[in-house]
Amino acid sequence: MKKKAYLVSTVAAAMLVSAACSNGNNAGSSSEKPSPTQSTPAESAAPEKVHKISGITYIYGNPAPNDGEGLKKLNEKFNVDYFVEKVPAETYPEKLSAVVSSGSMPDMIGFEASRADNFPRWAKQGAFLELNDYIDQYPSLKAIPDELWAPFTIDGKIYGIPSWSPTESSSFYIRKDWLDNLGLPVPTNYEELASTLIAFTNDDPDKNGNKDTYGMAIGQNINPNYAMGPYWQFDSYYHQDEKGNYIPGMISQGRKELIEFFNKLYQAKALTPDFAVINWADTNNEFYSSKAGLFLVAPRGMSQDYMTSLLEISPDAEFAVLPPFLAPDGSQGFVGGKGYARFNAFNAKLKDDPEKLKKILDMHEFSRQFYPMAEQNASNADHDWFYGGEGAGYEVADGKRKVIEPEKGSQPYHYFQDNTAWVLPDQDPEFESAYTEPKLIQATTDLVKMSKDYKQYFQPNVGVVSETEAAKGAELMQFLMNEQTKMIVGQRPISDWDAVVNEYLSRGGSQIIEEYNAVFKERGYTERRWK
Amino acid sequence: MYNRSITDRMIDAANWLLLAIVALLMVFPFLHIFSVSFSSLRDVLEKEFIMWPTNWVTDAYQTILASNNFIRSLGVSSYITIVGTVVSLLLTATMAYGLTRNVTGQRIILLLIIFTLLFNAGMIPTYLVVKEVGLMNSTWSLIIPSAISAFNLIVMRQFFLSIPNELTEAGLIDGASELRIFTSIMLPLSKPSLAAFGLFYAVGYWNKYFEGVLYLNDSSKWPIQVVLRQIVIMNEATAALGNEAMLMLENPPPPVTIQMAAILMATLPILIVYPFLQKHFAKGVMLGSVKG
Repeated sequence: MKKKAYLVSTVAAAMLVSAACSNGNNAGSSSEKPSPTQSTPAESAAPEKVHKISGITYIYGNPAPNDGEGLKKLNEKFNVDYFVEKVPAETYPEKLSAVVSSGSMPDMIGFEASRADNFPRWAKQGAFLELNDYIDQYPSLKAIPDELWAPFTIDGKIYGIPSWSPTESSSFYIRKDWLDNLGLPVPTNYEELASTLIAFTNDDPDKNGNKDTYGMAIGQNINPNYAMGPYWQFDSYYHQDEKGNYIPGMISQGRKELIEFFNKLYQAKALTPDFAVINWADTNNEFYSSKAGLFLVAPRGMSQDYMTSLLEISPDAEFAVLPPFLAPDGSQGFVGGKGYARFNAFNAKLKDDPEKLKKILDMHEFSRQFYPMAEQNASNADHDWFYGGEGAGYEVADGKRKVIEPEKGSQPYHYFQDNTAWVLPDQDPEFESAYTEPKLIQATTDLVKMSKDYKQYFQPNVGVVSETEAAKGAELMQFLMNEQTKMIVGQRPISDWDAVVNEYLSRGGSQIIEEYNAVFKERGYTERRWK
Repeated sequence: MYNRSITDRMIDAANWLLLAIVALLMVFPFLHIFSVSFSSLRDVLEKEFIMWPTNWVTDAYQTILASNNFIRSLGVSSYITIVGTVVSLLLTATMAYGLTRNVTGQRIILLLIIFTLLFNAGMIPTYLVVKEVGLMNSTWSLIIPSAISAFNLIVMRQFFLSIPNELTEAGLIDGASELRIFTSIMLPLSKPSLAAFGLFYAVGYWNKYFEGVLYLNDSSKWPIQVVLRQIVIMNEATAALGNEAMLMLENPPPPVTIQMAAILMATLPILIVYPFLQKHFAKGVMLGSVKG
């Protein structure tokens, strides 16, 4: 121990020396500037009452420039010196660890829901502001349902504010024109689905005389998972063991049935050849090149570019969204969306500066406003400002808002810590407004309607962090994926199922299950919830 | 020329053929990326594998060039690469040469250098050092912490040691100072090694990614690799996750044509450097410098 500490300090000293030396060598020639954005969080310029507010969060894609017109507008409107650092999502957890360890935690800290292992630890260490007292003061926070506070509540104290994401489930869409050509109905269970997909492979559903189509597009890690309800869902806790504990879908009876289904399709060559090594982008291509007849459809985030290309290749393509299948246990419905994808926590030091905290929460409230499509124009002053003003920041065509040159950053919305509108349960998120292609709009509308027709399973595992899961979860998941892939392609008999499950349990799986179930009990989740 | 037997020639031909095939294999992926970037998404989806665009379109490049981001980050990376390589070569060469002379503490310094080859401080301690010396959010943070590669330094020192001592002595007799010997004798003789290490450093700087994310808060200073990965990465990240997270993102990733165009534009500049430096590798320098 002591030796290690000595080593570390020696290395640190050596580094300091070499850094100092190289620094000296460059003196005079360098254009070193002190960082403009680093500041101690609690610091504020009291005389002018201009609060310096800092934040950090992650971004997919490239952010708007830091000298954008939108940021100036934001600073003027709220009379603040505001800067949120947007870090590439891929390396965000590492960067955040470094920033927090260096003791310069910004005022606002974003987390990605699926990679927030550090959040509970830091919260327990008192890094974050307790938010319980502020929730009632803000309508958009008050509107958040109780179960969505659970992931951010530690010992009764709330430390995070979720940003909205759909509660609607995703499903799968099938080529309706192919079904019609073959005179088949939309399948309603796995037997029908299997025979339909095999027919897609053998009976020339596109009537071009070539055997150039097949059933479903699927790629490595058995993705998409083609679960037609929580009974088959691999990453939900739905099934229970004999002790009444919820177990991960990955080792459940439902998953086993699904693997048998895939195995059948594999033997009939009705799924993507070499699926075990096909990445996500190529899996996409299989469907959008009109080769495969079944793929994933989600309420948002569909790529219109790919849909347009598919319709160029196959202009008569029609799509039917599959409804959930009736499970052997009598349930029918999909797993609901998590309801949040990112969340924000706040620096505990803000407690000492109530004025600044109020400003931050006010701004948060402002940027989380939801504007229905009818108001996505200049008629709503807040909306008009948020998107940079009609004609300058956005234009309205066919009733749809189109942001002008977002990469120039003339719209204030880019620069907020949380710019995702919180959609109330009685509001329509209008997913279809993201697209202009009629067939994609149709599929989205069908999917949303279907979501309303069935109850959705509210899974207990949303936002649960388990230590063992964080340490071994990924490795164990990969182990199961690999073994199940082998079962699909027939390299390993499905009768080995129990052996694989037992190996999973003994390598840490039972520990994970125990830790998850402890949290479920703490949250009072005993009976399965459907809503 | 001596007379070569038929077997000799056949071996040569086979050699030549084999190397040509290997070389072609290297060109293959580039050609594919190039062709996809100039094709329409429809063509990419429809064809099994594209080796040459059927319909030339430049949409992907127009999209990329429309945003300042990409061009600016190319500029940032060029700056880091050029300045960084010069700084690195200067520091490495001077230190390596210094360590060939009889300096007190030479052994200890060498030991410390070798020590960094075996152990490094890890991300957070390095981050702290960079922060404390005030390099945060400066492009110098991508240059200074990695200005000297211990490995390169040791190899270069070995190179200097291999230069005959008589040359230094000759310089001394002619009244040259240590600095003069270094600049007028040693450096010109080391051109091939400088070119080789220059290339290593240049490629290293061009490919800087993680430091860019870690030390730069201002996205307008991001080097090309960060911007590029932000364009390309989403597919890979979600494939690794093995779930459908990507489809639930607020914005879908750009089509593959744009990704390929970005990859090509980010790779070309550094690729162009190779042929210019290559000629230096081949030249034997020491030939005839010492007689007897």
